Amino acid sequence: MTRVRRFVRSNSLGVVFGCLFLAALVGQAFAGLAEFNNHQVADGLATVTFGRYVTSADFAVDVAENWQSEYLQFLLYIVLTVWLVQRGSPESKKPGEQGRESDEKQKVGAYAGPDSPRWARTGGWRTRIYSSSLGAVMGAVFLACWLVQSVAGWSTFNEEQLKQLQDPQSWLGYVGSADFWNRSLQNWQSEFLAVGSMAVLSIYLRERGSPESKPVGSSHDSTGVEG
Amino acid sequence: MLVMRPWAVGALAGAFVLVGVGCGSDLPAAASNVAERFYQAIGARNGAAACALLAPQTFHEVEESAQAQCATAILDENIPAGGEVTELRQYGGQAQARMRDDTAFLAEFDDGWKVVAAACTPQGQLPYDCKLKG
Repeated sequence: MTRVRRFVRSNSLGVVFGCLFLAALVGQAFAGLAEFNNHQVADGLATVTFGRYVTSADFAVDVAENWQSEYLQFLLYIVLTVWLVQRGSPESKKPGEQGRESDEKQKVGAYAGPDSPRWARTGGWRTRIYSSSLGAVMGAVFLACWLVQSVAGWSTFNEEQLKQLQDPQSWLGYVGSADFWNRSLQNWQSEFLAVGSMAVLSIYLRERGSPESKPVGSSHDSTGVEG
Repeated sequence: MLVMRPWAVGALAGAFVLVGVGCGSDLPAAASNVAERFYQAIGARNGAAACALLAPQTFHEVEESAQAQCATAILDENIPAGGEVTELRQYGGQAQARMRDDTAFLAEFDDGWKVVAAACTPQGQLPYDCKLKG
C-alpha cells in the first residue's frame, strides 16, 4: 500500500469532510455569484466576475455567518458537556461525573503516561492551558468569524443602503442592527436545535457502528456509552 | 477631501484584510473624480459630457421622462452646482459622494464609475429625494 493510500485510509473522516467542505464552498461560490448577478441585472447594475465575487464582502458574510455558528455550536457542546448531562445519551457523561474530573482520570501531571502530550505531563500553567485548549481555539475561531461577519455584513448592508439611495451606517450602528442579529440568530437557532435533538434522539435511536451512537442493543438508560 | 473607506477602522484591520471589504478594482478617488467631472460638465452646460457619465438606467430615465435627447434634457433638470467632493463613502460597487451643495450616488460599471443619482436631498430615515435617478 502506498503512503498516500495508507494516509487516506487512516484519516478518511478528515479527508472526506475536507473534500465535502471544499466542494460545498465552491458550489456556494457559483450559486452566490449567480444570485448576486441576478440582483445586479434587476437593479440595472453591472455584473461581476467570479474572482471579484469570491473576494467580495457579500460572499464573505455568507461564509462567515455560517462558520461562526458552527464553531459556537461545538464550543458550547465541548464546554457545556463538562458540566451538564443528558441521561441515556452517548454524547453525555454519566450523571454524577460532572465537572473537570480528577488528575488521575484526566491523566495529567503525575498521572500522565509516557505517551501523553508534553504539556499534559509538565503540570503548572502549561497543563492548565492545554486542558482548555480545544474550547479556547474553538472560541477564538468563533469570535474571529463573528468579527469577520460583522465587518463583511456591514459592508454588504451599506452597499444595499447606497443602492436604495440611503446613508450608510457606522460599524457600531450595524452591530446593533436587525440585519446583524437576524443573520446571527437564524444560524444559532438551527445549530442549537441540531445539537439538542442529537443529544436527545441518541437516547432512543441507534446507528449501528457509529461512535456517535450507543451500541444497538444498549438500554435507553445507559449514558456515555459509545458504539 | 475626507475619504471614508469601509475598512477605515484600524483596530479591526485583521478582519478587514480577511474579507477584503471595500477593495474594489478602482481606488475610491475614481468615484469622486467622476462625480466632480459630472458637476463640472453640468456647470459648463456640456450636456453630452454629463450624460456620458450617467449609469445606463439613469441615462434612459432622463430621455424617457423628458422625451428628448439626454444631452439637452439633463440641462433642464435643475441640478445644483456640486463643487469639490468633501466626503466619499464607498462600499463594494456603490458609492455616495457628498459635495458642498449636493449629494450624488454612483455605481461601478465595466467602463468605470457612473452617476446613478444626483441632485439629492436627505429625507431623514427615508431614501434621498433625487431629481435625477434611474
